[in-house]
Amino acid sequence: MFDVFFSNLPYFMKGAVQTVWLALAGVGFGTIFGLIIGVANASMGGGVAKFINVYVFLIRGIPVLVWMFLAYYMLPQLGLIIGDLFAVIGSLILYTGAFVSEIARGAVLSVPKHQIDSAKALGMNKFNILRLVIIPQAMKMSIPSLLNNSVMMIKATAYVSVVGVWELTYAAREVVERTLAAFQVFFGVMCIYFLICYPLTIVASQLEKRYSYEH
Amino acid sequence: MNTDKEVPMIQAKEIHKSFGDLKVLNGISFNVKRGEVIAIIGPSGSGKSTLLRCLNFLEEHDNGEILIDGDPLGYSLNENKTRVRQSEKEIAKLRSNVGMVFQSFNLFPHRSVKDNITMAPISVKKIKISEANKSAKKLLDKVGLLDKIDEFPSRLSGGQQQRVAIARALAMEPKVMLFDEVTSALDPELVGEVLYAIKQLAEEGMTMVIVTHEMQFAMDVSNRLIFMDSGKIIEEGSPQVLLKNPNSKRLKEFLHRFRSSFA
Amino acid sequence: MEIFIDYFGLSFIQSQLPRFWNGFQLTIAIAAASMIGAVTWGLLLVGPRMSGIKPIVWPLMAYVEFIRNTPLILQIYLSYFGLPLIGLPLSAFICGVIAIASQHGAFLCEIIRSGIEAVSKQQWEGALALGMTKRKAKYNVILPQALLKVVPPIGNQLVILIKDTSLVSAIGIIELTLSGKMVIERSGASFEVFLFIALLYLILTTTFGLILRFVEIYLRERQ
Repeated sequence: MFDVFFSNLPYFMKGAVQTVWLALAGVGFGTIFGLIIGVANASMGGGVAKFINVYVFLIRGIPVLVWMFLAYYMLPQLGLIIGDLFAVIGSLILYTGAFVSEIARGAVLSVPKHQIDSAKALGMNKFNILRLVIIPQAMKMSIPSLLNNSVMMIKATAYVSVVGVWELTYAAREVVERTLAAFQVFFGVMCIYFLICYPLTIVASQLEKRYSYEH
Repeated sequence: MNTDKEVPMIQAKEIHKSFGDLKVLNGISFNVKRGEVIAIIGPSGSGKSTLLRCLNFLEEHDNGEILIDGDPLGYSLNENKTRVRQSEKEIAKLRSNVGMVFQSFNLFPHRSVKDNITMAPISVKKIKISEANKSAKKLLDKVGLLDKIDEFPSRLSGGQQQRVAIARALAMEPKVMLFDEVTSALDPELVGEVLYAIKQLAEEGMTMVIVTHEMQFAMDVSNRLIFMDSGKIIEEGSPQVLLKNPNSKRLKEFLHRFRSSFA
Repeated sequence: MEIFIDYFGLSFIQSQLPRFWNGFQLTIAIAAASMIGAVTWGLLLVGPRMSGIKPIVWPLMAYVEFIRNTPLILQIYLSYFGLPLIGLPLSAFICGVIAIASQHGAFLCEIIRSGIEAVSKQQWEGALALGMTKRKAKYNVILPQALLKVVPPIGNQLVILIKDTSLVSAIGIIELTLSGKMVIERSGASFEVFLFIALLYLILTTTFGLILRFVEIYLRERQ
């Protein structure tokens, strides 16, 4: 019953590898980028915070697909011939960054104030407080949200197929248009995504449970 | 329903209860007469709250029988003398005869004080709204909070919320009132107003079972004191006798901590 | 005004406005239909999901987890390419709405469930101790409180839904995103077209967000 899916499996596996690359590049760099600006937003305030908030607002109000199209059409016209692949990775990085920055910002702000007060009373300066007290705790707390966000962005890598970049979903659509075996192929490919994403979801909810006991 | 004045209001026979491996109630038996006020004291973990919550079936007893005014609670015995769980409706009806006041008040935050008090009489006893409102006013006046009738719980102090909780429980016209450490969560200066309300109720002849840490209050208000430890009743009797001349070693140790609070 | 428009090359955009307007309307239509579908679906799922009956709960949990861990675009493709094969030759519009509604409905089910479970156990005890049956307690005490907790996350989810409507451009529905793409490809216009599209989405999501804020405030006042 799933013969079409399985006979094309090697092709899909190549697509899956491409998806994983996109995810690592987009989500990986995006998360690092987001963590930095999130912490900056929470700790600096003023002009920096306002700028970052505008950035987050723009990203979150506009579909990721539109950002991808924008990068796809805009970068060549601005003279940046970096190819479709890097254009969409760039948009993934920016998109992930916005969400991660909100997660990081929330985590930093939720470190209990009395911890900061004790650190100040011990004579630590702001940079050290950030480095030794706030960031370790904030990062630990935000891991479940970061994992959930990563799942969301892995799913978003599938959208690059609409812009024309080849990865697993693009491969799936190719095969279906050729063989018309829609159910097998799409369902099978969904299972591949599921196998990639679900473990992360589970780890996230286990960690969430553990943290709720610790508090 | 039993009109025979001799039938105890509450009868508990050989109550056992475990949570998983932990045995919390180990064969509790006692009676509460009509109009009696019982205070239950004991260290944390002695099972006193669990026992109280069994009396309105918020916790289900594993073994034994509980009778409220002669009617079995939670489980009935059929002809073969086996336990049959009562229907939800039956249990709810029995619960409406037993009023309970909780340590954390448990008022409904999304409704006003008046609605908190009238909600159950209207929806459970199908009392007319105008009548329910009248009774609510009377009850609030009794606990001294008539002016707060349209306020929301979040705007009241702990002591005020607890008094509203008492009025809410009384609105169902219960035959017996249960109090589960009702002052433990209050700031010290708010405790007095709640204890005063409870004392008033006792003077009016309400049958009550009170779980408390307030030793002086237990001595003032109760007819009989029960001391529990590790799921068993260790001693029971008149409060004055028990607290001044405890028999058991465990009660002596327990009171040791409170020694300075009595004359 | 004319100088402003010419400087930014907006006169071209102005000429394409009817196309964008059609796309915009179609986006709103898809969003509205999907929202109704998603909320309905989510509400239908919550009851069985919380019933505690294992043969019902487990398959539902599996369904929800599967949907949440797979990309919406594939669900849209499955709907569009697959449904005709089983005898349901529905229009692209309906296929898109079905896919979006079922994914977001699954999310909403989980949100509603969390909201109900978040109402503390002590509220249950307060209600039951007064002699209310579970049903009365549920409708008078628990659900009203859950509703308040649940409106903000549901609102967020619906904003995401609006953005997800852009995905149906992949199955040929000429909503806002596809309108933009077609204009660029047919007339070799520059990328500013997509800036305009982005702006329109921003207006859409922001307006919806404001409406949500008002709903939240209204519900809190009503309490």
